[in-house]
Amino acid sequence: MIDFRGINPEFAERYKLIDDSREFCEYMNKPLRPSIRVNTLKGKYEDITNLLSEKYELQPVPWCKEGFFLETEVEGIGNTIEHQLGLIFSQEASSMIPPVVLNPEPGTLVLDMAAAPGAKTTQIAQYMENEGCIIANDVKISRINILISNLQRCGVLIARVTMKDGRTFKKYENRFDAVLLDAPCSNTGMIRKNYKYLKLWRLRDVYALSKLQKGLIMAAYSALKPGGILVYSTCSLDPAENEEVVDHLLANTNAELEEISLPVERHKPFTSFDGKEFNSEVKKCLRIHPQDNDTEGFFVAKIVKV
Amino acid sequence: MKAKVLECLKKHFGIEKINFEIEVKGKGRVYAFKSCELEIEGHRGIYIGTLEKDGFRPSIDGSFLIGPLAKKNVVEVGDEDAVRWMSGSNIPSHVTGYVILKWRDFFIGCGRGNGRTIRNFVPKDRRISVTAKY
Repeated sequence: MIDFRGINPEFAERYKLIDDSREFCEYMNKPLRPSIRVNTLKGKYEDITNLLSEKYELQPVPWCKEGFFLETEVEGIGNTIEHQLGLIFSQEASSMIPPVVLNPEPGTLVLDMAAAPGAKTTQIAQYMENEGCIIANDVKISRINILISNLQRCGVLIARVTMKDGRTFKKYENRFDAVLLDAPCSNTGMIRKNYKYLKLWRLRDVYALSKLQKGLIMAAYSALKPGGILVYSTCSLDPAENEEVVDHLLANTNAELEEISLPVERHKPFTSFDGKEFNSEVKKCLRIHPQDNDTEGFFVAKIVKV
Repeated sequence: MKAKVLECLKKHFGIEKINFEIEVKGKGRVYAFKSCELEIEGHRGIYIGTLEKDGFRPSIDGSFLIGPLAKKNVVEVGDEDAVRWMSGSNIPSHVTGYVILKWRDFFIGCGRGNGRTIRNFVPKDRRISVTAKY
């Protein structure tokens, strides 16, 4: 069993308040199930799934038609012909949720505010059937290069890649039909993938990220057209980066939350934490702990601009 | 340059019309994109091939766009040849000139036939190991 206290006592102290169950520890210790998404920009769904079925045992991801867990042991998915042709994208199953919730229409204008490495951007492009426009933004050049490489391999024709601080999109007031803010976070949901996230975790970073996330969500909401959908997500389980950020938006705008009706097991969102009370509407958010669906931890909120 | 690319597509692959825009950058590298209603500075498009002295040579991702529109110079290959091709090897064929390779329902790039083999242009970062399964 993973020794949180031995590796990072500050983390252990904090997460005792978030999930102190035995199951949480067990699943944080368990390797992630490999999963992929079929890229329908490069071929028909049936043609690609038929090809994959010849080689792998596929287990559908219940909340994403294009997603599959690979039950067969796969050594180096990057060395498969399907990956190199862009027929599939290696993507953690829970991270397929935000684009499913966003559900963008072909021909619309979408902002992906923190887009790199591009898993969700390419998923959005396939839902838009390569029609319309996605502003795929990220703040770091090293991450932009990976994003462009993935857009290339997946055959995305509708992306404009920009390198800006996401908060500057505030000036594009009421411009976008849909916005995805998959915010930079403390990555605790990804500890199952790599223990480095546990070693690197610091509480002061969580507070700094929470402040940044509040700035980003306000800009994302400003850029959204009335009637449009904003999806906010992180791969952190800390309420300071999730419910508190959504609460900040609700307190400062006329934003409304919508329930997320997907076949996903979930935990109840926090309505208070760290001495702070949140708007009870945050109950509509989707909080996923690793043991819920045997995935990474994840948080998703669906917001409508009234 | 753009007109030259369109001319090559028509002459060599029998393509009358494309459903995306193209832009030719340095060294004849051709990029495909679709227009965006928002004017914003940034990178656009994907690399779809290079305008060479002897014609237009589509990239792997270019072959996915151009292949379905092509009326000639498309060569179908089987599973074993597809793996050989994607691992960077030439494959035997009597064809000459640039051809798009089709494997099952997918397009796997472009090569140049000399009457004996089709020369491989799969870049190193897109190759698979020779021991990979199809």
